[in-house]
Amino acid sequence: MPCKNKQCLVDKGGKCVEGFSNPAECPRYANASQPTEEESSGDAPEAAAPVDTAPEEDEEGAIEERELALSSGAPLDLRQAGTRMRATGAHLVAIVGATGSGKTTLVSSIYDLLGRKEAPKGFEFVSSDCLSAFESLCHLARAASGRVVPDTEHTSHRIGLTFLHLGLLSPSSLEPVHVLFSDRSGEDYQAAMNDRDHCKDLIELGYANTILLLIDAEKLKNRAHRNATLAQARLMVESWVDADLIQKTHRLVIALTKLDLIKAAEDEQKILESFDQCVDNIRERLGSRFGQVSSVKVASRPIRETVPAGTGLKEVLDVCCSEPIVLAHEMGEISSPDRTFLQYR
Amino acid sequence: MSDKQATKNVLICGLQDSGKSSFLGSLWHLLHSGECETKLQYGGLPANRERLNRLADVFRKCERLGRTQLADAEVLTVQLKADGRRLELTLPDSSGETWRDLWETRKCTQSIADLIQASDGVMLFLHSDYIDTPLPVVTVTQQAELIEQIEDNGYQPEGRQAQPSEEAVEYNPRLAATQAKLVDILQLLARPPLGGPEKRRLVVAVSAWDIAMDEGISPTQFVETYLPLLGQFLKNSKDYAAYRIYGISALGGSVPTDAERLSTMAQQSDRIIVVDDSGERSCDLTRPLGWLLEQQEKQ
Repeated sequence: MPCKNKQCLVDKGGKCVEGFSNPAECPRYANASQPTEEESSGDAPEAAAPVDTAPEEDEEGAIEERELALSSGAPLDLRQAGTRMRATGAHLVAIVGATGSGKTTLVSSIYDLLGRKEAPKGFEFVSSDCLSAFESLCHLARAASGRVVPDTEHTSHRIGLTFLHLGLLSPSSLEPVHVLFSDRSGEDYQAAMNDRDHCKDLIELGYANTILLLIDAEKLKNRAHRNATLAQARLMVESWVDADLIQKTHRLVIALTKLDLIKAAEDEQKILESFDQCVDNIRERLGSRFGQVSSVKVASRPIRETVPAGTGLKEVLDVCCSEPIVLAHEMGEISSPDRTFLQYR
Repeated sequence: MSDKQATKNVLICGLQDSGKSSFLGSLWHLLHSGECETKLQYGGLPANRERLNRLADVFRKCERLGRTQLADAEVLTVQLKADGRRLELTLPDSSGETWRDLWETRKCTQSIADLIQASDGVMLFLHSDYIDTPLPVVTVTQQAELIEQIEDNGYQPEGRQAQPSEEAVEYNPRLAATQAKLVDILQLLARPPLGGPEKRRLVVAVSAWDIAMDEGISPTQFVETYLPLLGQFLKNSKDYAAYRIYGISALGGSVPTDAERLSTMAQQSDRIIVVDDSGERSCDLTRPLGWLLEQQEKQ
């Protein structure tokens, strides 16, 4: 017998949403077979009315109350991100990397740590337009998911480009800093590496204050994969430069992710050295095209306690929340509202 | 005394079982009985007082209050006196599902939206003992492994057998952390289409404070410890003009467990506990309401 509360799944083996350990004690479940006074008189609201519609009568003559659609709490699309940037001067951080390199995990871990009082030192939560999205993204890393090993749902290629918003208080700023982290499938970035036209579609790179390039440390464990993975990272950066996406206003942060998975590995030192060499190589060959190039080693959400959760995220946030680079000779040439990206509202 | 009567609206909100209706019942008893000195005073009987009387009756009998159902949602009106002036205060008594649905369905009925938009101040309730804090998988797995090592007898943590990763439980907004739901609700209340340009004051009422007070920490420390995201939001966000956190025990204990002890108290108002960060303890439930309305009086 289904409960009168349509959202309660107690008849399907779920818990009583009213909190009764014995569902028979719940008045809504116990009376489920009896029509309510309102239902009997035909006054009960039926299924949720369409959002933002005027009250309508259903077939039985009952008036459905108008409903307002609220902010979805989902990741922001390009238009919403543009609006957020105009309103708050949000910093745009493009998170780039191959599939499975930990792009979404990095952002969701920042949120999760803020909520567990384990945030990178000096950073505090202010607000977020994407709380529903963050809670959903954290789910597979929480015990309620029933998983044994934490995971993050991979961003689908079909979703395209979205943004996750976090308002933060940073140690270097008295005022809140709003950050928009891009979220796009790793497949897109890998495809763009092979095609200049495709590369030009990576709109978030052109307008980013910071580009965060992630390299999966686990893939560096195997020597053959190590060379290929590092070469891919170099090629990615070069392809952006080739597509004229990079300016001196860009900060590039090259992050070695999943540090916990190589800690105590036999060739941990060699892996770290090869990563450092890759960073040096990129800096040497392409560094002059960027305003700043730095590197960091990260363990956003360690599977093993070989390193603390959130290792390296303070360094990442320090860069993401720092003042945008403004080139003296460009000042006055392009005003912010004229930027195409900011016209999406 | 001026006869001019102002009408003020305080939005009472909170998830299920957060103590909203208990607060209203105790408040009405407190005002009507005059047993305790209060910041806002009883100003007479409202025309419609059936709901208030019913809630106060449940309080006096030390009974467990039946959960407010959606169909029962009602705007209560109390007549008050403040500094010699008459004041009509409206307080909606709505179910926790109303506020939960803002988070889960991202929709709001027009009638609730009207209540929100008409409010002069917001009072958010959270129950000190009903806080869902999701545990990280890693923590649970490590705890299970520790038990495994201790027992050293082929023990398999239950979770591994019952819910292997390929059968992971799908995400449902109901599984979200309490603090995320509360921050989201506060953001929704403060921003369009529900919030207007005028910033309101906010009171966060940590209910069942009789349980939490054993920890010896202030209401703000409680929120910062157990709901750090909410604590940071309150401190750093600019969505509200000002905020205060109170520890409130409208019942003075658990009912029906403590009913016998509570019912023997000389004055039923003595059951009530209201604590602020200064450590000042009283039974005056109108203190948070008075503070919410102070700003309005000044404007």
